[in-house]
Amino acid sequence: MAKKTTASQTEHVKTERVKSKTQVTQSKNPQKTPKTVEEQFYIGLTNPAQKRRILLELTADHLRLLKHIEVHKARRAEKKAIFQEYHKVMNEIKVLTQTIYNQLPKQNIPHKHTHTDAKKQNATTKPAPVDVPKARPRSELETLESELASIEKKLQTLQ
Amino acid sequence: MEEIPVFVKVDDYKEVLKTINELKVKIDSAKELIAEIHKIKEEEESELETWKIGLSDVEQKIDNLSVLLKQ
Repeated sequence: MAKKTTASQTEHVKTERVKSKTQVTQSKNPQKTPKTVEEQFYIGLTNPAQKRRILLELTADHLRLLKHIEVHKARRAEKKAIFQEYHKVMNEIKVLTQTIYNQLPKQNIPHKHTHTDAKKQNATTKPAPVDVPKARPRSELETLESELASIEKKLQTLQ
Repeated sequence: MEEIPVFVKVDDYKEVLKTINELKVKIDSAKELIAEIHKIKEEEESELETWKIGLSDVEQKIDNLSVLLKQ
């Protein structure tokens, strides 16, 4: 049994050697040596209440942090939903813009180049290489990029 | 470039105006969504700061405990 540390003892932590309690097990076979339990050592902790308080505070802090993480998870889900909604709205805007574009009459833009210029251009320009269709499906980013390129092309012809 | 006037049917014109109004509504809702995203972002940043402070508190307490245990 370990000795109890009293308040009158010094504040320093004392390592106390526990009385070695040798348990002699009654073996059925008297020829065998008796088994002994290993000696155990205990360390006395001063101010246990303070330490317990710190540990409880630590646990509370950890729980608070975990709670924050849960709140953050919920917020991220909310953010994701808003992003999806935003994406939907932007797609609707795109469709409406396209609708307006289609509703307005197509105007033939007079070409600036003269007939001779066009001939020269035809003579110098080589036929464009035929694009081999890609097997893999295009990502949304690629589709948007190609749409943007086509619109920029149209804008250049208007200028 | 010479500007050539384009004539649009009245019905089509009205339709275009209607679509433009719809577009305006959509743009307003997109603006609101961006404001919400911005708000969430600010909240996240403030939360991150709180986490930082909380973690440093925990660290300090662990240090204190460690010191007390070694005394």
